[in-house]
Amino acid sequence: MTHQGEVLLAVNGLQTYFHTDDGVVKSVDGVTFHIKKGETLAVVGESGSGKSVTSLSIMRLIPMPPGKIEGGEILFTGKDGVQKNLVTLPEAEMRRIRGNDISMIFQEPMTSLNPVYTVGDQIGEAVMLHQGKSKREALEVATEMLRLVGIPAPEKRVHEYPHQMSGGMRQRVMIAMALSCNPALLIADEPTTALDVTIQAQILDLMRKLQQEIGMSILFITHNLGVVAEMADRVVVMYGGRVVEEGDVVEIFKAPRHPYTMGLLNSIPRAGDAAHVPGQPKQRLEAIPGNVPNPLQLPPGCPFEPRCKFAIEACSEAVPPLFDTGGGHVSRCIRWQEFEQAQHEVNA
Amino acid sequence: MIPFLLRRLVQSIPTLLIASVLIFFVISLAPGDFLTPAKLNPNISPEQIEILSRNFGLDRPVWEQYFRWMGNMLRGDFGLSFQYQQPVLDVIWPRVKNSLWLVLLSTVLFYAIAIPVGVYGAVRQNSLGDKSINVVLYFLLGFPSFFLALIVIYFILQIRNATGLDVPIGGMTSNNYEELSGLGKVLDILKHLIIPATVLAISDAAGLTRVIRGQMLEVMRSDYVRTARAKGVSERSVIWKHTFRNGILPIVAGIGGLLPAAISGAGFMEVVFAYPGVTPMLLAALNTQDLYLVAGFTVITTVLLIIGNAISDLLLAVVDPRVKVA
Repeated sequence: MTHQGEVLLAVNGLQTYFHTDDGVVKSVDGVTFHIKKGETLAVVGESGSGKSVTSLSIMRLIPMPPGKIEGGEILFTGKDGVQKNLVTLPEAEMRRIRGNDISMIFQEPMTSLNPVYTVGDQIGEAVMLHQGKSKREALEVATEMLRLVGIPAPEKRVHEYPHQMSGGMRQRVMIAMALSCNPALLIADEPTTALDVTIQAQILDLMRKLQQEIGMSILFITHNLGVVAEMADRVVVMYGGRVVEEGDVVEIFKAPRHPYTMGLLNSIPRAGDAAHVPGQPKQRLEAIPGNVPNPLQLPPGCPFEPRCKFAIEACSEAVPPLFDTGGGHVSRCIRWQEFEQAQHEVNA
Repeated sequence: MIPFLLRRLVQSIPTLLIASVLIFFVISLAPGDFLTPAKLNPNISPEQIEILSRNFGLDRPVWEQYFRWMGNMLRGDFGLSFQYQQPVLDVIWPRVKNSLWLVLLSTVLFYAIAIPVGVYGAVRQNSLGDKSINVVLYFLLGFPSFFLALIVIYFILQIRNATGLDVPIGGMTSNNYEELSGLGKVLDILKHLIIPATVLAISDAAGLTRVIRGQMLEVMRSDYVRTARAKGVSERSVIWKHTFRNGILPIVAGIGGLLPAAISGAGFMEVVFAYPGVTPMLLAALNTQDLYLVAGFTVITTVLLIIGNAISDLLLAVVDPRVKVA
């Protein structure tokens, strides 16, 4: 990975709104982050936090209408080395980027493959499209890709239809399809959520292994912090259509500086917690109270304020800006310094 | 495939048997028979009636008539039409042939209209074009086709009076048909066919257009269409290769109905346009209680429906790999 450190994708102030009958839903409202070459960035958040809309905005696959990218820029440096703003790129050029420079795998492997074409046809379609290969050559590439993602007897499987495969196999096919043109960026939108736990681990291992072989960057969308710890180099935490915290994965887990991130971390079980000492009260997982705010009526201040146990009066007055907390770590909480001090005291 | 067809054949036997019983007895349930008008005619003596009744087998009990009819049919003899005094098949065949041209042409037009319009409606959902088409489609759906035909005839007559343009709106051939050359004959029939076939296709296409539009919209929202877009597939390919191919599966499943429809004629359209097809003959046969003509024709339609459904299932297995025939 010779280009390590170079920025591959920079999302600046992205705004994606949905114009519904009930009003404008600001699903993504001023999101900024970047991904470096060869890096894995995890975007974490609850359903409705805007993480999937962000990824679909990068691909320019927002259903339009009702959705629309209203502002911001998405700067991407493709395999040709030219930086382009994907927000304003003509559709024809965008099509050359999709599946070639940026590809995407989805949450639902059971429904993400076309039932009437063989997996070989579906993988080969992208190869024929972007690499100008013949149908036979594309089928060879498809077979090779199936072998790469660990599907046994790929020569035979390449002629099978999606319904002849299990969910885990289909997600492998999706990965094979996504990687068939050696993309610079792979967007994985909750790729393991719909799979059994054992299969999840296999798919994550596979993605890590392929990332090392191919050297692509991964934008990993998930709500599962366990997966984040395993996969990510850096983490972006989203809430209510905004980035609320961003930082190195170790930092985020060790010293979160936003109450929402803390809440997320407290709501997952850790290996040590399971050891219940008799006679002592059982340790309970802490849930974040309340629900994600209605996107049509976001509170005037911090969107997390109604659910936050650290909220003070100032929180409901204005949306807090992103505070640089040092070392590339940012937080959208006005009390971040107090958390930092508290953590220092604990560590001391 | 062979075991599938064999099983279908075996399964069709009870179906046909029950259908034939129903057809025969329902027709026999109607009061009177073919000779009722003759009985009311004072010029025909009761003796003559009795002779006719014996000749036609109408003096036997219904169940005996049924078994004789059934037995003859198994030997390929569909019986005699009372009215025409000819074998049923000889009466039906020339009319079926006439109807076939009309139905084939209108079926081609039917799909040629419904598919592009339905796909357009889905791709440009809620556009001005889609909304205008919807208004027309709802109008056509609620409008009896024979009345639409009458309106078309009215306007063609107006045009003919105004411009002298000669578009035939009745019958199947011109008066000088016999004097025309081979190609002239074909063109003459085509000229007579075009108006009824178009009216029939347009009034029928409204329903299928709605189905195709709905199917396309549903598939366009599916995950695999999003996958295709994420691969960088062109919009044309997204629509025809990934969406349409899946959207038409339910329509393929219903394609078997075309086979019996092909010989059943164009219904009221034939009556309105004075077209010498099957429908006028069938209506007359029903009116005169021409038992074997009606029953024979219905049995043929039933057989074609069974064959058509088997073809549908085979076709569905071709277009949808998830469906297996075995």
